[in-house]
Amino acid sequence: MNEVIKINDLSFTYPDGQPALSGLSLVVGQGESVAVIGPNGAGKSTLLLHLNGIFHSNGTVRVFDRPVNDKNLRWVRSRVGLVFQDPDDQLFSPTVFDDVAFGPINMGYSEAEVHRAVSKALEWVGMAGYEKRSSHHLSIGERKRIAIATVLSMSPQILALDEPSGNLDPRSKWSLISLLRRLPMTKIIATHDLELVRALCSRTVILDRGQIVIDGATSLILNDRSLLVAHGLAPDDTS
Amino acid sequence: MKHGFLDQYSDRDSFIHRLDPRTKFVISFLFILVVVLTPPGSWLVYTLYAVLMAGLLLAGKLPAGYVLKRSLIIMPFVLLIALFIPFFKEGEVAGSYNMWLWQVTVTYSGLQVLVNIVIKSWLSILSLIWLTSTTKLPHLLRGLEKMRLPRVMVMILSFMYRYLFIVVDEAMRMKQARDSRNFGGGRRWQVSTVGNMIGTLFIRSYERGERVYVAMAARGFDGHIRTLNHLNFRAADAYFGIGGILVLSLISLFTFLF
Repeated sequence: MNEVIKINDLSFTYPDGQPALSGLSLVVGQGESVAVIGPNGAGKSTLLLHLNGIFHSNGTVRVFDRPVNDKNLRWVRSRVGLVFQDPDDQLFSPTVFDDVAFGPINMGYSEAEVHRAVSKALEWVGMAGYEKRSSHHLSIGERKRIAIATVLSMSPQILALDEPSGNLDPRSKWSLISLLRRLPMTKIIATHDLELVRALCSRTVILDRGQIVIDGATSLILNDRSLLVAHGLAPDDTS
Repeated sequence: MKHGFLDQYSDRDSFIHRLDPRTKFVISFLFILVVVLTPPGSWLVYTLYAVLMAGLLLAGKLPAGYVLKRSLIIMPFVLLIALFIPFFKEGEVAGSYNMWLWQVTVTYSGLQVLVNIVIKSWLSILSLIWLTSTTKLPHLLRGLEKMRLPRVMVMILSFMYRYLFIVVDEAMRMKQARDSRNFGGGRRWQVSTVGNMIGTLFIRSYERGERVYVAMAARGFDGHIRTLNHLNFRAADAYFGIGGILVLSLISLFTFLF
């Protein structure tokens, strides 16, 4: 199995002294779908921000066997597409086209390539023909899809998604899940939506207080009720 | 929540809507320029400008009620500045009133200045309403960018367009949350909660700014703003631009004839 992401003993503390990750190691292989689950504040988003070089600490994160550092930043960002939790943060341009084209333009694509990448990405998420619309006139489900298209347009090999099903009603959520299932990239999904994990990911990692508690098959972990209870992922019936 | 107060009617279709934003920008600013430079008291010239503007607004299929209502926005500012001119300008006295202890006089030339200022500012704001109501803001921004307005300013304006609605939504939600917990309370208390809301809104916007920057950086943004250009100048733009400039210079020539 090809290793696409290799994290070795990663620790990170926010500038205000709040520890976020401590001694975390993780290896993700090509084509895998890995769920990173855990309570709020466990460090899930911080972990995702490391994959793309937004935060970087002493070269302990490697993507396709290259260290994530200032020299490789541009390259890493074209490989790892990061989809943020709130699509309103990700969609900042006046029109959908501008948002989806933002990455390709920054990557230095030619004009024809940009147009091709944008229409392909929008088609992929089922939003073809929305190019001229303004993001603030779209529904939250539509905005989520566009947010995914904004990274698909850079043809990344790894997708890192932060709470993809947050704020979605069940119908939008399930249509998003089937959309994500169609995408062939390696996926790392930070969430606490266990339904989504069951439907999408064969492997699950529980993260709590900046450390990996367990890493294994989704079917085993999600059926271990006491484990889920211990990490705030299922209600505690005894109390 | 939906808002359309910024560029309402800009998604209609008309000859004017299809023009290149740069053409409309140039024409509307030329219009303002010639209106401002018109010597005071040239009533015929003002009438001609007003007729021309009415024609442009009609061609843009803008409802008269909407345009008039919108144009009133400028009036408080104009009146605040110009309302006292008739009392201070020297000249032939139009009327003199005794107000309690003090004598107030109004002069004809002062009144004329006031009327001129009101007319000029009203025509100018009509021109801007015509521009912004017939041009989608993204197009206008692209036009400004092509006209060499610094990219950073275009970017700031486009962020404003994108996030204004989100900040307004946030403010509305905060207001609802406050009202749902508001059981009267004194006026002073009310004012202090508004202060807190503004502070919270500021911090939230600031934090959002940071998250947006991270989202931009994640897609390869390195401080250099790059864009594609989609505008094309068509024959219609050339006709309209040249025609507009000719008509405007013709009207301003009238100033010297009468």
